[in-house]
Amino acid sequence: MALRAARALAPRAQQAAARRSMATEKEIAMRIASTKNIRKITSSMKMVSAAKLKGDQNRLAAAKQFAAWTAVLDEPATPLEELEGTAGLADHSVVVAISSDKGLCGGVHSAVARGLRTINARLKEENKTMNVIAVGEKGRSQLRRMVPDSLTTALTNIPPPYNFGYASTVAQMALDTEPEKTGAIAVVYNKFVSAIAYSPTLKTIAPFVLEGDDVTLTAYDADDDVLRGLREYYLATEIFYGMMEGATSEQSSRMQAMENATKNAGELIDKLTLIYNRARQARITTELIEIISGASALE
Amino acid sequence: MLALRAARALRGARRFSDASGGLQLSFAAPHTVYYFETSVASVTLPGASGEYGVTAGHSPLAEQLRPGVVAITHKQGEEPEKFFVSGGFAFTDAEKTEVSALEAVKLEDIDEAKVRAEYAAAAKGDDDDSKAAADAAKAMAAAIGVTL
Repeated sequence: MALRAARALAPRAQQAAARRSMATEKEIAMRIASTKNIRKITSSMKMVSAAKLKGDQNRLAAAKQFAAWTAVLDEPATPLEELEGTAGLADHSVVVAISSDKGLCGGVHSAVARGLRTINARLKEENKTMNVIAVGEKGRSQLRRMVPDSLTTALTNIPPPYNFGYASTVAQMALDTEPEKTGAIAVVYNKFVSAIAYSPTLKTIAPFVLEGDDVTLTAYDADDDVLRGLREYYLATEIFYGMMEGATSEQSSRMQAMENATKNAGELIDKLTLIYNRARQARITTELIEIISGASALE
Repeated sequence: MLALRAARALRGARRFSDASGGLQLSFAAPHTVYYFETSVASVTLPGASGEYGVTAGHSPLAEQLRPGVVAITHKQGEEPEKFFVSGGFAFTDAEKTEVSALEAVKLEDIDEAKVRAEYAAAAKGDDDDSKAAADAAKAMAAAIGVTL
């Protein structure tokens, strides 16, 4: 972004330098000053996210152990890249897309939105439908364009970090969305891989089987009431876990983005300084020539 | 190959420690993990259909928890460590128990005055949420030996 601006700026500055060297010199100096301010802002944003990332990582570590019990229930989540077809989604599903209200963090929100667009296209091929619940303003604004027909609910303006109470509210909302039609409920979020990588992931929560041979939690002694309550709790736990993964990915991606922006601003400042010095030199040379030729004309 | 053998040996060792060290307990609330695969002697849980105790070798059981006290006995004969949980689920099998609580606090961290205030506030409403809050406050009070 900053580089593009620098490229666009350079020829214009040179032209202007040829026209009126005094004014451009000032103009360039101003531009250098403002770019320096931008660099200050981006580098402090980077440091802020680095500090916040620590907190997010701690919360994620706790959430991971908190959600460890879900292993008794089912298969692990699939990265969207490895997803084949519509993997486990029923004729009608509810999909919770987890993003946040804040931007300036690279492509994390777009990764979730693009993943949903792909799923949406595949569902359409198979004549299936879905309802999308968008968590976070950034997800909402992109999904509104990418899957306009499926987006039914958006939850915005909730300050991070998200807590379990909020996850439960979202879970309740997902369960209340056309419950007579809904087959599976899925959660799409960015899974934190490392400080420089994340992978958009889909976790499907299939409906519980309460009758027949293949009952849910068949290895355990559990009655139907427990299972009914458990589905709600399971969903809330998965949404909460997704939120923690998403928040950590977002913070690490923001750190990365701000580091790049700081680097780009630095490059831009170097380029502008060069142009500035050249313009100054040109002005001085012109003045000297003027004086010398003026003096020689008098001789 | 070597790594594989080492892993197998480790797994064997772990199974052995399971048998001798008692129950593997995982106990966590959304933001706090109290225990993760820690060996304990026994644990008492507030099940929705009644309080129940778990020791190693318990039959597989999944149970919902009501607001109440989780008591963890680390070593046989020792005084149990007590936590208040507001609800959640517990999964038990022969080797381990996983307790996933909505909220969990140590019993000694509960402030009696705050519980009373909470109960007074919740008792005023008559919708489901405030009833649940009142029940939780009542259970919390009972856990610290106060009757409301």
